[in-house]
Amino acid sequence: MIQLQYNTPRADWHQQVEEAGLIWHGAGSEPYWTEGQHLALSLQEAETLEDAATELHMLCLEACEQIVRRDWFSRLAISDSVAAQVQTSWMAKDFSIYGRFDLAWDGSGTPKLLEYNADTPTSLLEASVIQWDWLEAVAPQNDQLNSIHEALIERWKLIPEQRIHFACSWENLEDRQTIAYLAETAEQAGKSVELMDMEEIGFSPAGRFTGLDEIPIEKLFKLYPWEWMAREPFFAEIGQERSRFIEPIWKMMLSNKALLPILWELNPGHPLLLPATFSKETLCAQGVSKWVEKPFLGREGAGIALMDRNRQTCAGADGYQDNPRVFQKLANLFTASRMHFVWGLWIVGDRCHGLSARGDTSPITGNLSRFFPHKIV
Amino acid sequence: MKRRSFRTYINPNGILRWSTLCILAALPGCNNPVATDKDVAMAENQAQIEQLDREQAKLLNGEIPNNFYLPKLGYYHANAKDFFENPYGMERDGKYYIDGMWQDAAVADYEGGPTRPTPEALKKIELALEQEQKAEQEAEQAQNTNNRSSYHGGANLMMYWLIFGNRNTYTPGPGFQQASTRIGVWEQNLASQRSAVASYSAASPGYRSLVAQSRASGTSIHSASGASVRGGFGGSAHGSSAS
Repeated sequence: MIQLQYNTPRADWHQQVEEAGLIWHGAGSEPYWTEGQHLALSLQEAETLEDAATELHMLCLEACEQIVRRDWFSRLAISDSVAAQVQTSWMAKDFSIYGRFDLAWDGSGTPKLLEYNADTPTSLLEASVIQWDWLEAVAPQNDQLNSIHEALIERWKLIPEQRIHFACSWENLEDRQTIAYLAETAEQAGKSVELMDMEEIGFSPAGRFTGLDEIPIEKLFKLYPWEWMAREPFFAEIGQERSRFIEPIWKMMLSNKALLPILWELNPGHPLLLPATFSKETLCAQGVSKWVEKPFLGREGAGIALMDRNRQTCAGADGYQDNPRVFQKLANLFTASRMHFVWGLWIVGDRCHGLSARGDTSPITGNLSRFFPHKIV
Repeated sequence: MKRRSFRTYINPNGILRWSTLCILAALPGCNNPVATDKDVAMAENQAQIEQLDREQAKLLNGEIPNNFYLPKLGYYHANAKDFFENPYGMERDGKYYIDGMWQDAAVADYEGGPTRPTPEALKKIELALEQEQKAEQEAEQAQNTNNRSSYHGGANLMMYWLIFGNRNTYTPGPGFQQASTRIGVWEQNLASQRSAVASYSAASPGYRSLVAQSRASGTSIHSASGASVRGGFGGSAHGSSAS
């Protein structure tokens, strides 16, 4: 049975997590990294989540195939010009590194898909390194669903290019450390790496994206959403350079909440899915009285509303008012000590390699929701 | 699901540690170093001196290795025994630059050793030698008259001289005759160039970082004021892209 348990914090944990790279372990007086509490799961429970993620990943890939085949891009509000690139990228099987599912599960029944953060997933460093260090120090006799680090290293080895650039919005420290950690795993895979600001990416007269040294970029991992890139000037130059980008542009099909009703439509009644539709009337017609409204491209809980028969019971931060919305049946989250938990399941390549958890007093996970380490007992 | 067989290893000298230290110490120089024109000029001098040191023994024998770069002449293609504008084996648009021509098929790396340049190539070297001496004289005159400018081509002159000094049957012209009287001055120039590079490198961590990056990537240092247009991505960021 899943439990929220207490443990004695390490005396020097601030220093330890900072030295390991987690410099955003708290925001003001609010902690982000939770040192003195953790989630304890049985092996069977951890494997239930692991298997669910791997199966959901396969369902999502099949959904991509159907979106491309049936030309459903307008259902995802993806414009024709962008759709052409997405389609080509999917058909060319452009290389992907990783993604994170957010699942709801209170320990009974089956886990349910909330969303797939397939384009720009963060909280990677704490999921891969920080919570493992915590386990080694606090509960070394226990296990953890966590082979993210070595899976990433192996994944980078599959790329033939020797030099990889990593770019993000430089002023955001969490993003910077996320690409630095990914670059670390690429370095350990024998690659030469460069970190840079998205704004520093150049485009040369020869038609190549370039680093600051004017050398053409061979591969670029960008922690920067494709939907933002698609409205920026250089997007028009993607053309032949498309396959150099990681995560690939076909992930726009997965990082869009419109995926949820499409998945439900393709797999009605699937035990890992919640009923989801493009209109609340359709959802209500299926007998659903409590649901969640989600903007297609919302981030960190912004724009989300929890509804009970048209009465809003909870709302995330403002934002994404202009986005079209999907309507998904409300799921039961694991709750303990007045906290609501969402499970993060980490896919590297095509397999699940890790588990993380975020908890909040609100049922909507936001950018200040706390990270909880876990152990398998 | 299995426990890891090893402890998660973060390299103490790796990119994550470097990024963390930069952020914690709020070090402005930790952003990607951008090369200034002076960095580029100094790096070229350093590369020429290092090349001269590395290849001196071969050049003294009158032999030049494949893809040896000489300013004003380009890259030596050992098989063709001549200099061309692009490196041997350079790929562009599916074609490969081999012995001065773009060829369709990929070829294996050149596996032969250094070769002696043809008389035509030696003539090119002599011409470069003459031009370099002219540049040296002009720089010296400018320095004498207004104490400005100084000549930094000592390594080039030494390389031309070393190669050309082993010309076999090629009959040298006036460029070579004049050069033979200047060799002592060039050696002094080279020593002063070597000292200037060492001082600049010691005083400039950014320059050292650029050189390290350049060596790791096998590319030369370019000034940031290059031909690429920048700023075409990144304009939408108003916060984290986290999800």
